[in-house]
Amino acid sequence: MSLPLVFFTIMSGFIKNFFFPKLNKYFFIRLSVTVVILTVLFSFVLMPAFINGRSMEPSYSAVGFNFCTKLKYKFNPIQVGDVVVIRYVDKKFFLKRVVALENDVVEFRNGVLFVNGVYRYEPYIKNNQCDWNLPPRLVQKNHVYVVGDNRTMPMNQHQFGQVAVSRVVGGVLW
Amino acid sequence: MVKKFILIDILLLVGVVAYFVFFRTDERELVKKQLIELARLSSKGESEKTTTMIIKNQSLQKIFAPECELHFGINMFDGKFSNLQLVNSISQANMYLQSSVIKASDIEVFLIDEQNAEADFTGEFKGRSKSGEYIEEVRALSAKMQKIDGEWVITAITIQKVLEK
Repeated sequence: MSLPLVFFTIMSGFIKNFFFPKLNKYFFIRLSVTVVILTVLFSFVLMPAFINGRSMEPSYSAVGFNFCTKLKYKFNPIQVGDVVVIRYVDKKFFLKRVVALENDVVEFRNGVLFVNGVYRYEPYIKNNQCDWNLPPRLVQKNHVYVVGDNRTMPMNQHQFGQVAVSRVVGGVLW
Repeated sequence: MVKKFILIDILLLVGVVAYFVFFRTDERELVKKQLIELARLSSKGESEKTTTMIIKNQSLQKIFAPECELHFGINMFDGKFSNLQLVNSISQANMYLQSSVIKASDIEVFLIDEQNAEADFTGEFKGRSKSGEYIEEVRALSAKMQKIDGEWVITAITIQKVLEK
């Protein structure tokens, strides 16, 4: 028997077993274990997230897919510049960038971000046509201040502001 | 043998579902149920009859403590109110609406002791005014609850925007 034929025979057997497995006890054990592992993985470790919105452009395109790393902030504190997933309501989440932490004072002057009165350099913002003006805001205890990277829209059309740390679900995988 | 394993898998699944649906009657679940009930009773159906509204208001009154504290950040809704006043305010607000759907989700309950609890949750309001205007609001709410005569009732509610500019 030639080598390609042996290979083909093995592969066809493998493919057949993969798509049409024998319904024996091992199959049900494998199925149960797989379901449990995937449920735990996608519920508590890596939450699948479909991105649908322009608020984080150009860092994240308006339509895309990512995973929310739910364990990221269980071991590390949230840091300025982190992109976080925020639970908004029910199954609706926001993807935003942390620009200030608790006790910081945030303000926008003609579209430029100032934290504690100091100009904040934001390299992730491209083509800045922002004209936002927001009086100084003190970030409350156990809160972080989040803003999207896309600041081309009017301020009242952009969802941003301080949010409770308890609403931060995690970071993004990439 | 195969049938046995299928049966075990099905029984396990039914057991898990049954546990979550029927047997989780601990105090946290009772608090959650009250908040979900508050949202349901405060909503208004498209062509809701007056009698339905009266029945709902009677049930709604029982969800609030005789004296309830509100912190809405608006003068009109800041302070202490009786349960009757609150039900009247909700009815008045509903009079301006054609329909409204209020949902309470992400409810997290903290039991302080056997008689007191606090709950953080998200309130979603979707409504249509009689002039046809659509209103959609999402707020982060925090409620203080007390167990009076075996029932969890709301003693205080604080409302904040989820994202406060």
